[in-house]
Amino acid sequence: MAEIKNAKLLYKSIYSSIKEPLRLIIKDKRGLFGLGVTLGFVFLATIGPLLFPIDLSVDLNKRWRSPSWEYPLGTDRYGRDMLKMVIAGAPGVLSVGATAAFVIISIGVIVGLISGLVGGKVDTALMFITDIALTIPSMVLITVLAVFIGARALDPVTLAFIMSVTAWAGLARGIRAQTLSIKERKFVEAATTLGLGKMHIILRELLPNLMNFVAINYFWSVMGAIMATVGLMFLGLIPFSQVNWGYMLNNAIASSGAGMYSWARYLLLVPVVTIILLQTGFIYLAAGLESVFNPRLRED
Amino acid sequence: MIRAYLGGENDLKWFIKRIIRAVISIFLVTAISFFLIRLMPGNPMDMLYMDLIVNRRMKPEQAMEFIRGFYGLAPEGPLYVQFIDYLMNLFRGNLGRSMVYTARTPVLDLIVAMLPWTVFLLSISQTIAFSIGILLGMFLAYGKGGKFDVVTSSVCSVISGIPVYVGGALLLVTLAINLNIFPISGNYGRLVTPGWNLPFIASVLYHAALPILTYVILGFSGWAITMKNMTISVLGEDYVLAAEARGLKGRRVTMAYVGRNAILPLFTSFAISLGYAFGGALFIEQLFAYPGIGFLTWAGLTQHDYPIIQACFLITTISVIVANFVADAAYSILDPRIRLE
Repeated sequence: MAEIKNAKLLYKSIYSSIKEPLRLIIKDKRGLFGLGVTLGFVFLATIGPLLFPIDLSVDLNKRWRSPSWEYPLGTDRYGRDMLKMVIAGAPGVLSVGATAAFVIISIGVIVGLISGLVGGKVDTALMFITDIALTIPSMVLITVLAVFIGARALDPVTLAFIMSVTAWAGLARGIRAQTLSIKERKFVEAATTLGLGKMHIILRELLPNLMNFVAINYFWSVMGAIMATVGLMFLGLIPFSQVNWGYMLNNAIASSGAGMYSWARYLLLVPVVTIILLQTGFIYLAAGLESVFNPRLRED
Repeated sequence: MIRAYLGGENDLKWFIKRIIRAVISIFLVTAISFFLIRLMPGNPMDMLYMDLIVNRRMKPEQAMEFIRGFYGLAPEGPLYVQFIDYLMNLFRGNLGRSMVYTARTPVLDLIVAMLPWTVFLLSISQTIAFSIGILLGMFLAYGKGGKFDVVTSSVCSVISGIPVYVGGALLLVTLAINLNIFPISGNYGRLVTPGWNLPFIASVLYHAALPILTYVILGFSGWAITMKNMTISVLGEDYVLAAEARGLKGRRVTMAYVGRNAILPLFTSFAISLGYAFGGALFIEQLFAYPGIGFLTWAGLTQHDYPIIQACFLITTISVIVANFVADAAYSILDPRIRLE
């Protein structure tokens, strides 16, 4: 009985902590759109491939089909179902994006917190490294690393680490600035006066106040990593899965060669709309979160 | 004039710090480019060595000589000696030879031939995008909250996030392939002779139009949003209020007081954006088969032409680091306040 009660309590506490932000996001039209799109893509990436397994066999009799009940998004030049290709491409990029963002956030928060809290020489040294990471053009570095390391084996986790190689730097600077300003606030002072330990101050006073910044940056980082991953796939530098959105883009351009098929424009539209939809969803969700955490941005 | 600006001891320290940072950054990317090739298991140099000995029946010394000709260094002796060798070679301008391009062209020749095309595209497109963005951003800030601002701002925020390969693919397929308005690939037509003649220049501009258009369309919106925010924050400053209170003409306040102060911080961002643009060049030049440094990088990467990858990586990263440094320095001369940090 006690366990059930505990579970209920846990559920209640989670529910009450999510309820208000959720209400605010849903109230904001753009936030609702962003949340819906994001959840939709997560659904596609997790359950989609199980519900709609893809058949990669080439069947030229079925190629260039227009959208129908059987093929909601039509077929490509090899007679493959476009919708299933979109779904099959989702897990790869989303898992890289989510993992990369997690790595980026972790490094950024740790570096920023240490820099802001310890100060002095440690701060100078860490910010020096951060500035260097900021000056190195990331896309070129990522591409070269992916190709070199990918020559051996390239799984989503490795790729996620490559994506975060310099991306943490901007966040670290932001976290440091936030830490410096929160450190001076009265409630931190009060906690210090009360003799509460350093860990208490970091975990209970600082981190909760940084959460909004971190949450928003998480979505921006996911988006950045996804766009870079699709880009590498588009360049044909990381195959990684047989069907992916970058490949679809490339395929559409190849199909449109010599102006043969006006249908190619449609082929192009599918991955383009997918990518822009996902990206817009993330931007709006991040904006919705911002209005949750920053009451001044709310319209009411 | 610069001396006058560099007067204080603090300022000198600021500059020295920046110079050290730039030098360390450059050293770091050089080390990355060296160790990436040397330390990879089954690295291209060892593979080539084995291939020469096993398949072409070369003697070990011969093979080493051959590799030295290729990369400018050979995989023998301690690593740090090899690294110093590599650095010395770089200073002499010896970047090794291409493994794939015919007649094993020295990589430096390829870079010298292709870099100008990238610089040409980037310098024009980034300037246009920056100018349009700045003007639009100020315009939006003045009409803040109006219908035009609301619509344009949200359109801009969506456009600014579109990846270059998506925007480029759309423009390529619609404008070049389907509508046939622009050429699909290359940097100039086959029928013109390179030189300072009108047909050649016209052909170059015609071929550059679509890549430039892509950069501009995807680039200006980000600037517009940043400039809008900067302008709004400057509009709240006391000196703007004071200028208006003094009865200065609206136009003068807009240009000399608001505009100038809002643009200042954007100079550093402009340099950083060059870094992104170089990353974008990888996609755009591949997409439009435009023979610049991005195309060369891509070609090197797909063909595993390691000397080319190494050299392109170095050239790109070093030019961005230098651009960053120059922008920082220029900015600090324009706005001495930031040296007080």
